[in-house]
Amino acid sequence: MIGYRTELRRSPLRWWFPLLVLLDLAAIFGRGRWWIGEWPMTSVQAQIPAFYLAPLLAAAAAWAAGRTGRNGLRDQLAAAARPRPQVEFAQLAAALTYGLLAYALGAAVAAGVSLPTAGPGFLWPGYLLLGAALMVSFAAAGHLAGRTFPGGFATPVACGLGGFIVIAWAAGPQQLGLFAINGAPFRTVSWPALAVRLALAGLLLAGAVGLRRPGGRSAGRRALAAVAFGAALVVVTVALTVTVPLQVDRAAPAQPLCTTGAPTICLWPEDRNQLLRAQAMADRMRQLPTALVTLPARPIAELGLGRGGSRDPEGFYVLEGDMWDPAQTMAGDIMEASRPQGCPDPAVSAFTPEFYRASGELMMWLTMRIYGGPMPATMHGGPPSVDLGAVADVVRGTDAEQLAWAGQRSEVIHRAYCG
Amino acid sequence: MRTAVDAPWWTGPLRHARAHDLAPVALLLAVVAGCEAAFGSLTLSFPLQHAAHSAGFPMRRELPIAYAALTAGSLHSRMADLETAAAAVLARYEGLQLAAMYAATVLLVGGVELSVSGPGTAVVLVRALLVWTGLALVSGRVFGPRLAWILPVATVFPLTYLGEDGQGRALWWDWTVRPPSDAAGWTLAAVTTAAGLTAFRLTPWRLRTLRGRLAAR
Amino acid sequence: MDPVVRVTGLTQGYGARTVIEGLDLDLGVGAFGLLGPNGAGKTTLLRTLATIAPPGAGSLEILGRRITSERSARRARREIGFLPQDFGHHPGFTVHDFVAYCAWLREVPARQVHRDSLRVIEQVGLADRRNERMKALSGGMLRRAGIASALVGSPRLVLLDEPTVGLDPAQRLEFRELIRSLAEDTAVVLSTHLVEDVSAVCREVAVMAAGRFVFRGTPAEMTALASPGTQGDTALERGYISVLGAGR
Repeated sequence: MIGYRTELRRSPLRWWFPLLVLLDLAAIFGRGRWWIGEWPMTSVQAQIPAFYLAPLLAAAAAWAAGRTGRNGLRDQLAAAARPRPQVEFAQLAAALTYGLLAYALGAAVAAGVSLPTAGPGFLWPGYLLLGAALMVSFAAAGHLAGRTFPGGFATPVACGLGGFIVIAWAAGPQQLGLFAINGAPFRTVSWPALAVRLALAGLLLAGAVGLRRPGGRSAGRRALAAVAFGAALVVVTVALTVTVPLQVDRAAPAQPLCTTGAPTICLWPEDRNQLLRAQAMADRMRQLPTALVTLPARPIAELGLGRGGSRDPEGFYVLEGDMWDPAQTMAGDIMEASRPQGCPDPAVSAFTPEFYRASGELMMWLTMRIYGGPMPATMHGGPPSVDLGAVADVVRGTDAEQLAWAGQRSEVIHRAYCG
Repeated sequence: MRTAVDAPWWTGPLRHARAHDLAPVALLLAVVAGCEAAFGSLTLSFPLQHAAHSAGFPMRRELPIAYAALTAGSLHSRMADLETAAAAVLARYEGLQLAAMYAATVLLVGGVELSVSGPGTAVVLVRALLVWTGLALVSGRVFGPRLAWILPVATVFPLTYLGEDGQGRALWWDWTVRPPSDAAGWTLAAVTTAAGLTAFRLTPWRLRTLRGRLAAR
Repeated sequence: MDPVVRVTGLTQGYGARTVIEGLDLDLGVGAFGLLGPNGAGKTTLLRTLATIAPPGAGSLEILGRRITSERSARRARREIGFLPQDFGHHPGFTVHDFVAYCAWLREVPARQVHRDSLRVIEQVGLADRRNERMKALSGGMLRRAGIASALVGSPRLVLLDEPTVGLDPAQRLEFRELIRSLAEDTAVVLSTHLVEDVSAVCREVAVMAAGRFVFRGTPAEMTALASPGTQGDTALERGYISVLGAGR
């Protein structure tokens, strides 16, 4: 414990700690505010800084571990009564303390800002542990590199810059799955996958503090330990690839949150901060001109609540806390329900560019009516050949003007289906 | 006239190169250039500031950091304690060394990118190299040459995470993405290069003179 | 004749901490001993005399030239041999490489570097090891190589910070002899904790405490200041302890 406290006091990270916290908070709050009020998104958001902190910790740990060799302390440590792994662990634990403390502070602040609007629940530990495992793994790898190559320049640079490259190249959710980017409520981190990532962190930690340079009286044992470490690393790496994807579907809740009145919009309980907006959208759907559109009879549900799970083609997704995407899904459902009935299947030639433009414009008009305004600046895309600005102008017009405009598009669609 | 025991003039500069580990530095430059040519197109995925997904871009965009760190890091010497008491010759050779490192890294980045990616990317990455080398020299002066990499590496976060607006357009200061002719990018390169060279020349005596002038105003 | 070193009203510090305050010093040819407890400001004074640390306040003259800028400091360094308390070395350098590199750093003319390096290596007793790598030397040998690096090129001002640390008794005797002969035509400043080294080679001695001189005089004058009952193995040690006690 004395050794750990000494290492804490002499760790180079003690001067950098405020910057680590600043980096953590910048990563959390620099990424928009849409995650506030929803626990899984807040949890992933609190985990995102690990992406940047992990390579920094690797560089710092490599630099600190190399000091033993650079400052000529090898003989002193070799002659120490205390087992070498304890000394190494104290050094690595000091670097980890600063990194993990900054990470925990960021998570606490993220939880604090989410708390007032998020309702029951709290940060999801799976995501937080995933970020912690990433940081421990990289710090331990950096420590091991620093012990092996104690230079004060090339090793920290290689660990820092190389760490960034490795994380960005191979650690993403679709590759080795060492971190998550998206915290949709219908997905959660898989516990077996998390266990493997924690095992990787534990293994690297054990290797960083336990492995010794070959040679000396117990050369055979040291070589055997190195081989065993290498073999275990291969096994864990294979397990990493087997346990991708990192996130799995959650079971739908027995009682999803649903709006009142028909048509009904249902949400995951974690999205309760969207319920008022969903209710307003349902109300606006009811105000659509029934002469032109038919409202869907079935409830409109968020992904994961319907039968298709997270791949339900009829489910909507609250992208980045905005209800634009759900509004588009609802508009699509209305278009489908409003399709002319009783006419023979039209020939392919009936679907002219004019038909597609009319469909697209009507679809966007419905979306804006349901959403309650034009497409927000943070959203992108839309049907091709549709002037979203012109449609927004229509939505701002009188009911009569809108009815006439939409009627013209309905007529084009009707002609394509029924001649 | 040289006597039999005289050493040729170049033994001094050669020892300077050895004290500064310039042979390993040259080897590392070659390794980085090889990585740039062979793996520069690998896609790196970074979280996005504005969205719940990641953005991918080629690894070559970050590699000039390694060249910059090597340039500033090569100014470290294992005999730094004795070199602090050196006459003018050391400053002269360190200046030459820095100029040679600038030239070598610009040629390597420009040459590799010209042959692999084309002139546009080559110009943008040479500009990024100038920005990062300037920052590395400042970092080397503040934290010591062995920690010259700190400021360049610290820019990875804002560049990869905060460098775009809500529409996915690169902000004016993202020197790794802005077009080759972008004035803001070149202004940044000029400012950071000037700051780096100033930091390189900023000895305790010059700092004292500067302080004296500032105090006199 | 101008003194080799003239310091007037020197004040030095690190941040808010003052290490040397209002110090005056004139040094001519001969050996000058600098004694004092840890943290007294000896190393800071030596670094200032070596023109590494510019004076915070006051002035510094070396060989009659006022040192006011980087340019004047670099010019003066050609005539200054400096051995820091701790110095690094390239492990791949031989002893000769190490000394010759230091000669090059001090702009010793190229035609003299090789010959003069061999001369000082021999003076410090490392002639038979001149082609050995620095990493293979013992602590005492490294120290002797350091002393050689400070003497190469025959500088007119030699600043030695703790030069005898790690030397065995025989080597210390040789070192004293070396400094005695050197001091005949060179200004030598010897910072040390070993008062017997000072008494053996220095014509003048100063004791520093808390950034100022609390004594300046000859070793004999310091010996005479020994108070009765003061601890110490030699008369000079007792004088040193007494001076320090009075200074506090």
